[in-house]
Amino acid sequence: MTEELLNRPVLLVEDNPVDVDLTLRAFARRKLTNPVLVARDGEEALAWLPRWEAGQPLPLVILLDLKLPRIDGLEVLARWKSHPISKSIPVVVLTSSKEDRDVTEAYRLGANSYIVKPVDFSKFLEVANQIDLYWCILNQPPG
Amino acid sequence: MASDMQQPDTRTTPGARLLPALRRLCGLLAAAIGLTALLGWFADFPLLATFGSGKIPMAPSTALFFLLFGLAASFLDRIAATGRLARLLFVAGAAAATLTALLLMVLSARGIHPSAEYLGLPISGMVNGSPIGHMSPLTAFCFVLAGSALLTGLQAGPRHRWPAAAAFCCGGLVSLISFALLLAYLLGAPLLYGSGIIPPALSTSLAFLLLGISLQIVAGPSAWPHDRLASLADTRTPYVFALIFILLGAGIITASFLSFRKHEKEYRLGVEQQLSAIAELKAMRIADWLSGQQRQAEELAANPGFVLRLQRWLEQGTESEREIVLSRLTALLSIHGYEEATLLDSGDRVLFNQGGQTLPEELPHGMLARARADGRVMRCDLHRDSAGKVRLTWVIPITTPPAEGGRLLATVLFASDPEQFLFPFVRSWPTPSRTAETLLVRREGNQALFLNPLRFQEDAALRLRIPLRETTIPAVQAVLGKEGVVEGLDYRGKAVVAALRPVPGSSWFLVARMDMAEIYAPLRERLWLMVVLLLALLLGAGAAVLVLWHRLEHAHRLALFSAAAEKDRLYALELEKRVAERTSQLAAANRELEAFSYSVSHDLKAPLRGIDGYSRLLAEEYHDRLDNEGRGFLDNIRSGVGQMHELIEDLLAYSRMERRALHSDSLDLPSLVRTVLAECRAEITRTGAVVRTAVPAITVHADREGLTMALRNLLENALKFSGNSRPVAIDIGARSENGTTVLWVRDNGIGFDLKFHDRIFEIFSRLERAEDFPGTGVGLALVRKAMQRMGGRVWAESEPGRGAAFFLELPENAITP
Repeated sequence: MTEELLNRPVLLVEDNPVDVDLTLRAFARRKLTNPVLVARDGEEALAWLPRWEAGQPLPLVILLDLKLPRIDGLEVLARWKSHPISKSIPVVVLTSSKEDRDVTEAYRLGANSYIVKPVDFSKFLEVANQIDLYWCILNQPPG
Repeated sequence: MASDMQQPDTRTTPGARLLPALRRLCGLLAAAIGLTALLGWFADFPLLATFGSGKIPMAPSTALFFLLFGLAASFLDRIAATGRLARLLFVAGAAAATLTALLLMVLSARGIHPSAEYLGLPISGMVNGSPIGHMSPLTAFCFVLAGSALLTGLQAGPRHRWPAAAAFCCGGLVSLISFALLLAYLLGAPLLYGSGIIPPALSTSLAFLLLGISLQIVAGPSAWPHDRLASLADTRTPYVFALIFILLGAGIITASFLSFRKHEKEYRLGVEQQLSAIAELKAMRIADWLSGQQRQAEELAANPGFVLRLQRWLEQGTESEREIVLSRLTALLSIHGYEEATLLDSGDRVLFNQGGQTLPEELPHGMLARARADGRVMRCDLHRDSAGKVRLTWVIPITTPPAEGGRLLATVLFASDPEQFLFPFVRSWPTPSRTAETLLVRREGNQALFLNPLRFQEDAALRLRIPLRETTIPAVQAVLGKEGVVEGLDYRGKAVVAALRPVPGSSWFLVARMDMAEIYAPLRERLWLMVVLLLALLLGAGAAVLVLWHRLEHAHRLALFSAAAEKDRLYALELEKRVAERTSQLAAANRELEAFSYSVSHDLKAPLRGIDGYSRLLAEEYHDRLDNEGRGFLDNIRSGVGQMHELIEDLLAYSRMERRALHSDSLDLPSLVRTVLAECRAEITRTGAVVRTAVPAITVHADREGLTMALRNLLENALKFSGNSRPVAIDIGARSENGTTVLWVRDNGIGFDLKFHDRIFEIFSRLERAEDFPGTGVGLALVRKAMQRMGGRVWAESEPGRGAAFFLELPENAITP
């Protein structure tokens, strides 16, 4: 079980390359061993669905940015949370928006958590730390 | 729009300027008439007081009253405005005048005329039986009314309608009475002349009319309701209506005047014709009678048998003829109704006399001689005999026939009593009449002699003489040869209309005359009726005009009102439409702004993350390859990023505060304060600040997020600007008073100069340098914006170096969405 857990990926849905790079570096600092998969837009994110259906391991947690090209993050969230195979995957919305409506909508659609991306890198490191600790270690993912 | 119905300022409209000027003018004119009359009396020029001869003049007392009352009415407003003393004096004076008038009225009505009314002038005389120089009771009554009008008019004002109405009525009554009097004068038959009451003079009536108008204007504007007056002043229709009324009135008066005059002419003509007819008839009849008598007398002289007998008696002494002659004479006496018969012989000795004593000496001088010389019967005109009786004597000279020489035998004198036929006939009048009379006059020297007994002077016959220079007397005019109808004064001094005719065949003139008073009596009655009718017509016309005007006004106002109401309705509809438009526009703008700030926030922050991240990574992973300076550079980069981030956050918060909908929450202040303290706990601990709270359990209705944010900002500022004071002491308190709640945050930090009080609440405005105190300068602007939107306010008190206190005030009810 633990090995399986260790091999389950973390899916990062982020369009900004800077943010992608920084996030990866932040997780690297944590010495995260789980693979981090990146989807650069909504379409790519949703493209994982068939793969999961095909039997690929489900991610431990999905980190979802809301402002995505092509298909918006909330749309992706909605689709995931309504699809039987993916609806129980924990989704942490990781976005720079603090807007009420985004928060409300995200939770309504079934997000498990909503984190505002700090600009300060130290804070961001802390966030990555917390995500790792909680979702990758502490949390018991669905099977 | 409701503003259409607002009342215009009546002081500036032409109607309101006109009335006081009119009042002053009328009052002054009335006073002027009085003054003129007084001057006339003092200068012994009564025409100034009469305005026409034959009319009664204005009494000096009346003139004085007019002077005083006229001036009072003119300057009533000045007196009222001067002061209490002036008012008191005026009231006393007016009351005294009114009481005096009342006294005079009572006295005059009883026929007592105090000579004080003469005001020291020597006045005497009468006009039409009324003593001049005294106030008529009707005049006194009008002065009582005028005095009352002045006294009540002084009290009149927009809030005192009853005195104003009373003054208006009194003034109106005066105007009405004077109008009636003037009408009567105009129509030529002035009222009360010839009655027992002293009539008011023409000048008095005119002055009363002016005074009445003036008094009505004194009270008028106050008696009318204010809004009526306003509508009166802002349309032109009242002037139109007033004009219509005046024209109507003028038309009615003119028509009635013309009709009356025509009627009067016709009537007069009828009377004149009647008089002429009577005069003609009588003159002819008298002439006939005279010639008849003459013939009778001549018969005797032409009777040959009589002449023969007389001849025989007188020249031949045949006594038997004497008896026959005398009995013949006696018979003739009774047959012809002579009073006396006298027989004179050729030497004027009385041979026979019966019935009286007409002695030859009593006959007018030379009459006998002339008769004898002519040999014709002569009439000895009316004369008085020795007994004083009036006689008409026929002198009949009896002469022998011309064949026998034509010498005078005797003279027969027959004297008849005019009362037998002449005088009764003259006296008779076909219709019963009070004053009608016929006169016979003849000329004697330069006098006119009245021949018959007069109706109003019994024994005037052959006694009353009037010198011929008195040509106003119809008898004189008749004697002077005038024929036809004349007007004049008779022997009594009364005005008469007379028809004059000479009696043919005599030296007599016949005057058939009637008093003017009697002639005009029916006309006068008709005049009274006409005046009453006229007044009623005028009043009726006035009332009709008023009612019509009122109706029109009403309809006009209704139309205005409904037009205004319609306008209002349309306007309201328009407004609603506009509001709906604007709301949707606003909503759209808001949404755009939100989207804008949303993407601003997102897109601006992304590169910041990059800058901060990479500079941090650089600092950490290339740490040993950087010297202190390099590391310093990286620190600066990161601090810049931090500032940028804060600024973006603050701006976003400010924008959100502007846009977001407010909620009215029931907030418990103590717990709110605790929340904020909890949020700032880290900073509080870091600075080691001591925060004391003294917040009573007040509940406010406000927007939670807004108030929380405002309080948080203030607290952060207090912590930030603490300066060097140790320990940092912060007090948070609240108090509720007069429906507002005040919350304050007090610190012992660096404070600020109060001259910057307003500036610190502006966005981006900072008092301190950025390196000394971090911050974006948005915090207090945010607080102000939040408080503004909640309907409250924020202010500060401070002294540099001695801390600052910031106050938040919340109204009782916050703005609800």
